[in-house]
Amino acid sequence: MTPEIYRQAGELFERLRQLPEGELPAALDAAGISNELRVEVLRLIEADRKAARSFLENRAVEDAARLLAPETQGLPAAGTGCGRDGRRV
Amino acid sequence: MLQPSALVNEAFVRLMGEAPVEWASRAHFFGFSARLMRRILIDFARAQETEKRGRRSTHLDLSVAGDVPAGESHPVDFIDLDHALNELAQLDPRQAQTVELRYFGGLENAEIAAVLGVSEPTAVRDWRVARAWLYHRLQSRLPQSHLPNDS
Repeated sequence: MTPEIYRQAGELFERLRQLPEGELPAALDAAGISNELRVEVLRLIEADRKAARSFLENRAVEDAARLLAPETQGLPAAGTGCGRDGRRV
Repeated sequence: MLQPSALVNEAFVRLMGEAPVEWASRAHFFGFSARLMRRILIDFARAQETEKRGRRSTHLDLSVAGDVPAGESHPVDFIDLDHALNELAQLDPRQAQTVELRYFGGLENAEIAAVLGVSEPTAVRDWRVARAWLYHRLQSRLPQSHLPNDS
């Protein structure tokens, strides 16, 4: 893929990404684009719908902390009683 | 095992050791910091892979959940992400910078816009397109067993 095809795919993706799935084929037909560009736009739209929930939403340092020190996942939440008699410490 | 505090120490030491004497601008500083964090994490991921290669092949999981239940994720690694970002930089350098500043540098959209000298809506659009492209690119590298069921 060339940078120019990618740029055009990005523009069409932004314009069409919120269309209902059933309206996409007609919108792409109306755009009069090449098959290569059409495939790229559809890939971006499909990926956006799948990725929207959480892909790369954490920052790298958060992912790294989870990866590098998995034992910290088991730490009690802030304010959890953990003194000898259950008082907050 | 490298602890998060050690990661921060490593970043600080490298920042101080490699930083230019003078920062040309805020963009220069944030761009350098994000790039540095990326390099540290990639270096560590590579070291982990080398260390574990003798025992078994492993990948470092990132939180890259797509259409999977909350709390689950598709395993992808920092090294694959690094390669994909390099490919993205060939297609659109500004989008690759946007991902670097946001994911590795921890900047918000308005800060990214200021650093890159674009409007905030442009930064948001760049992020959205880049994230979709990276998701597709990384997903295509996953083992078939990790791909979502299209049926």
